[in-house]
Amino acid sequence: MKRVLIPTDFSIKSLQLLDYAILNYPKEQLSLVLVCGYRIKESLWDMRNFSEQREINKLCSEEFTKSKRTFLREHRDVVDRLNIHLFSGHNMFAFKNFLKQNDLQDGIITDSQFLSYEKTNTFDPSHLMKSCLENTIEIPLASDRAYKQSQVSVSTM
Amino acid sequence: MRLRNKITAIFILLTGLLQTAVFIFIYYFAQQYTENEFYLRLRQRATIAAQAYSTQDEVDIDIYEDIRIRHLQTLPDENEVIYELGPEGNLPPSKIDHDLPQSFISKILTDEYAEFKRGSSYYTGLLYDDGSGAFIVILSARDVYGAGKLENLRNILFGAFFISLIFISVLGQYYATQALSPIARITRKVNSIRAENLYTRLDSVNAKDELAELTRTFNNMLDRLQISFDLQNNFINHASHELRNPLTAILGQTEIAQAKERSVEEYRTALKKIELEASRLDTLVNGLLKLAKTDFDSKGLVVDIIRVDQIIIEIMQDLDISIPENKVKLHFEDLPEDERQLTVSGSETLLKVALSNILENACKFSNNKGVTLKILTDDTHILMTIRDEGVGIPTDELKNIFEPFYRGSNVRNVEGFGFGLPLAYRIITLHNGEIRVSSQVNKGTIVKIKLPYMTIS
Repeated sequence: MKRVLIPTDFSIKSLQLLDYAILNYPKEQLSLVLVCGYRIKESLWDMRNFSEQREINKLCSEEFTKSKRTFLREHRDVVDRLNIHLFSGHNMFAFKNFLKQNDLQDGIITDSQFLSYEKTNTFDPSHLMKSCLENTIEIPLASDRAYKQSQVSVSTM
Repeated sequence: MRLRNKITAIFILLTGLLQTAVFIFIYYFAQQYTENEFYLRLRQRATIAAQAYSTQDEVDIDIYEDIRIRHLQTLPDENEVIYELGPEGNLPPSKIDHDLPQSFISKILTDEYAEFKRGSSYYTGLLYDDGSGAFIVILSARDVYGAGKLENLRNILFGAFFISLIFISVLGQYYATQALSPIARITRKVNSIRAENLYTRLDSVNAKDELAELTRTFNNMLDRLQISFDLQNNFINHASHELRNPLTAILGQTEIAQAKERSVEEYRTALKKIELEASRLDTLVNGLLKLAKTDFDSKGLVVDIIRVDQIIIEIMQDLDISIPENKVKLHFEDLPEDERQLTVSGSETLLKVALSNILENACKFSNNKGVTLKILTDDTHILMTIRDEGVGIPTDELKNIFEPFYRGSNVRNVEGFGFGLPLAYRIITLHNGEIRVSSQVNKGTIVKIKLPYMTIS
C-alpha cells in the first residue's frame, strides 16, 4: 500500500490535492495522510495539555469533515485510509522524524498560494516536504487570485 | 443629509445624552447629600433645644444656650417651636400649627422623628420624653449655604456640558471626515474606471476592516467584469475564426470547380468536399446555438423531473452506438435507497448533453482506456465522479478549459471544437450544480459533478 503525504490548510479546496494522489498513483491502494504545520503555544500549560486530536477537531470545519468523508466514499476502491496529522516541529530533523514515524516517502505539494494557512497557529509544511520526502510531485494549481490575474493579463496583452 | 453630518449628529446626540445622564446623577446625589447634612444639623439643634427645655437647672439652660449660639451659630430664618403633649401622649388639636401637614405630626408621634421640606425651608420634628412629660420640638430653618453650593454646582455642570458639546461636535466632524475619507477616495477611483481602463484596480489594503473588505469586493467585481469582457472578446474571435475555416474551404472548392470545364466525377468530388465542410459548419452552428441557449436563465427552460441514473443509462446506450469500443464502467453500488435522492429538477435534454459531452471526452481523450463513472449522494447533493486514464490536461491550462473554443495544447490533433466542457459547465451551473476538474498529463482526469437533488416536502 502506498502512503502519500498531502498538505492541507483545512479548507475544502485543499482536498483537491487528494484527486492528484489518485491520478499520480494509479492502480495502487492508497493510504493518504493530510498534514498541517501547527505551532504549539510556548506556555507550560499549553505544552502539557496539548492534544493533537483535540486541535484537529477544532481546525476541521463541519464542511471539511463532510467533504473528506465524501471523498472516501467516492474513491473507496483505491483509497483505504485518510488520516490527518499536525506537524508541530520547527526544523527538517523533526520533520524527518515525523516522516519516519508515519512511514512516508511520497508526497504531493502545490503552489504555496493555492493554500492559505489563515487558521490560528497553522503553517505550510510544503517546503519541509519538498526537502525531506524522497518523491515529491508538485502540482501547479492556480489560486483563485492567480486565475483571475492570468485572465486579466491575457486580455491586456 | 450627508453621511458625515449624520454620523456627527448621532455622535453629538449620544454623547450629549450620556453627559446629561451623568450630570443629573451628580447633581441629584450632591443635593441629597446637602439636604441630609442640613437635616442632621437641624436634628442636633432640636436635641439641644429639647434638652434645654427639659432641664430645670438654670445653669444648664445657660450652657445649652451658649453652645447653640457660640458653636452652632444661628441658621437663617431659624424657628423653634415646642409643643407639650397631653397626658395620653397626644397633641391637643388646639395646639397644632395648621400650617404643618398632619402627616408630619403623625410621623413624629409614631417614629419619634420626622423631616419635612416646604419651599426653601427645612423642618425637623423630635419627640422628647424626659420622664416628667413628653413634648415635641419642631425646628425649621433655610439652608442658604447649601442652596448656594448647589447653584454653583449647577452652573459648573451647565458650563461643562455646553463647552464639551462644542468640543464633541468639532471632534465628531473631524473623525467622521477621517473615517469616511477612504470611501470618498474609493468613489473617486471607481468613477474614473471605464471600459477602456477596466484593468485599473483600487489600491489594495491589507487591513481586515470593512473598508478593506469593500475595496477587495470592488476589485473582485472588476476582475469578474474584466473576465466576462475577455471571454466575450475571445469567444467572438474564436467563433469567427472557426466559422471562417469551413467557409473558406467551401468558397475555394466552388472557385476551383468553376475555374474550368470538369468531368462529372470531378464535380462530384468537389461537391462531396463542400458537403463535408458544410456539415462541419452545421455542427459548429448547432454547438453555438446550444451554447447560446444555455445563456438564458432557468425560466426559459423546460423543467422536468429527471432521474440521473436513468439519464446515464440512456447516455450509455447512445455511447455504445457512437463509440462501440468504449470501456465505461458504471458504479451504481452506492445508489441511495430513496429514489428521490436521485431526482433532479431541470432540463433533461441539456443535462443529457452535459453528461454525454463529459463521458465522450473521457472516452475520446483516453483512447478508449478504462473510464469509471460513480454516483453517490449526500444529504443535499448527487455526486458524480468520472475518472479516466487518458492524455489529461496540462495543470496550468485547467483554468481555461471552460472557455468556449479553448483546446488543450496536447490534444490539438484530436478532432473537436472545444465546445464540450464549456457547454457542460454552463448546463451544470444552470442547474445550480458544480463541476470540478483535476487532471494530470498522461495520467488521467477526474471530473466531479455535484447537482442538488430535488427535495419533495
